Amino acid sequence: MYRQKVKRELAGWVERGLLPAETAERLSRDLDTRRDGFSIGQVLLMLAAAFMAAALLLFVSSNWDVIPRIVRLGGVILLIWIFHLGGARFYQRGMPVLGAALLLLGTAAFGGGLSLAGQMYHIAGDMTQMLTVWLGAAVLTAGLFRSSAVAVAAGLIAYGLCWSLLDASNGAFTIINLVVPPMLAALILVLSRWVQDAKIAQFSFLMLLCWAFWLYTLDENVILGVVYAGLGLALLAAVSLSASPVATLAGRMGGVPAFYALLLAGLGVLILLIEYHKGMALMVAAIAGLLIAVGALALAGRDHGGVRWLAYSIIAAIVFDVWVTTIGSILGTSGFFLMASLVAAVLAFLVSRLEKRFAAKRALAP
Amino acid sequence: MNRFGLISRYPLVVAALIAALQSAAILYVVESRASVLRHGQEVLLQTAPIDPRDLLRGDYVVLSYDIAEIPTSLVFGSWPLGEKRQAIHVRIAPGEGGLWKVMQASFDPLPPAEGTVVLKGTVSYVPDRSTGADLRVAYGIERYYVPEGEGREIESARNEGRVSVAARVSAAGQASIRALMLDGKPLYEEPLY
Repeated sequence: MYRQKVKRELAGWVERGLLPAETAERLSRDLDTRRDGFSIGQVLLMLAAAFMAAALLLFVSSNWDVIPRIVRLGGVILLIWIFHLGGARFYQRGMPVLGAALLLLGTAAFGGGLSLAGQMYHIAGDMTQMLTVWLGAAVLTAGLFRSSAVAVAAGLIAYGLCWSLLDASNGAFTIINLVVPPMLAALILVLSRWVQDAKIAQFSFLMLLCWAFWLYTLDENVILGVVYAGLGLALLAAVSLSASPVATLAGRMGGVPAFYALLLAGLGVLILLIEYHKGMALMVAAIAGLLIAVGALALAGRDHGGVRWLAYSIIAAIVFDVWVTTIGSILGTSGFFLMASLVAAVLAFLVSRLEKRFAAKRALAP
Repeated sequence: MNRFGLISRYPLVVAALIAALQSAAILYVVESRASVLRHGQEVLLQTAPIDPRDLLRGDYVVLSYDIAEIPTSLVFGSWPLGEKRQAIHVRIAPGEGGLWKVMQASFDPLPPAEGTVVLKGTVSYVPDRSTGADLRVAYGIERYYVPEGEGREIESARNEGRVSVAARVSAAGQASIRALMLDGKPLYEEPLY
């Protein structure tokens, strides 16, 4: 996508005489030699590793008693050694993708071994401990080998651990489930920086969002909706405004931080719409939601397609919700949309005036 | 290769270290449980099974024990309130038919006594004492993992009171299942490893 888009732009610039054809050719060649190129061979190799990991875990889970369990246990431990040493050997010989695939299998084998031990002695109710140990091993391997494949596995195990902690709490506030999920998210974020793969940070953001929603389900308090909406908007401003100190850090991750900040604000709006479903309260909640979406478009809509798409979705969802539940009466709802339309038209007028003035200033500047 | 830091120089050593740590972790779990089975005090408990599946460990039979329901009248000492998980100590002793029954329970540690065993369990919800509701205690032995598909056979063979469990209990109060019995006979061979 990105590559094709840039090449189209290059061709356009050459056509309009803005760029010498030779430079465009060199730029496009540089684009083709990038390391992060998509390779179907590599994708298939990682898929093969993931499927084999699943096969291994399911084999343990099947508890096939034709093979004595001591043999199964020995086999799993042998696999741990083969996969880790084999993976290291491939790294040594400059084949990091094959190395990462084997390390991923090694990490899966360790999880299989822990499960087998639990199965052998009929251990009940220690899922949290088991997943903690497994996560520790995955983080250690991913960290030492800087492997983003194993980091993905760590992200998935962290989800399992987070879920098992929240599940074990029986829907009660405890220090553990207030503190541990953010810590897990921070751990995955650090891991994502360390293995230099920004995609893994999304595990972290998504985990925080799930946790935020879980907190709401505990109490169903409308205050949380207000807090999430405000916090999401504040975070969005923090990562988008160029004056903010975290903007450069977030900029390195593209539109991802802005997208998840808006998703948090959207979660807040959703909670407000769930809690307030009639009359004045619904109108205030809907207006607040629309303002948040418009604010997000103003802050980050120009640079990030994902934020744009999410803001439009939030607007569509609010309109649909208000349409279906109606504010008092159908006539009242009609009045609400008339007001919204007038406000949007006035804003459009003001903003286009501002944009023209900025464009004029920019044209004068050089 | 610089990107891999430490790994670029000694990748095999690091990999071996990781594999050794992981093997040690698995063997630790195995041996800590095997030692309970080897040295623990044997107790016989009455159960009633049903069977679901665990994503990682496979099919299992849920065992709900008679000793999991403890009447408040048997609980001595302090009474912590709230929704938090609480550790509880339960003294059991052999009753009729060789099945072990609850003698007393306490949220404070119980001293050892001749002819009895103290089990450590957890209560996930402690009701108000005045309600007189039974305490539900989990001992970490509520699952019996079986080869795929065989859980249903146990279920169909189940007839109230036909399934019992022989468990071993360590000095620290940790229980580990030694055998699942149908009509007093073990269903599966349970080697130590």
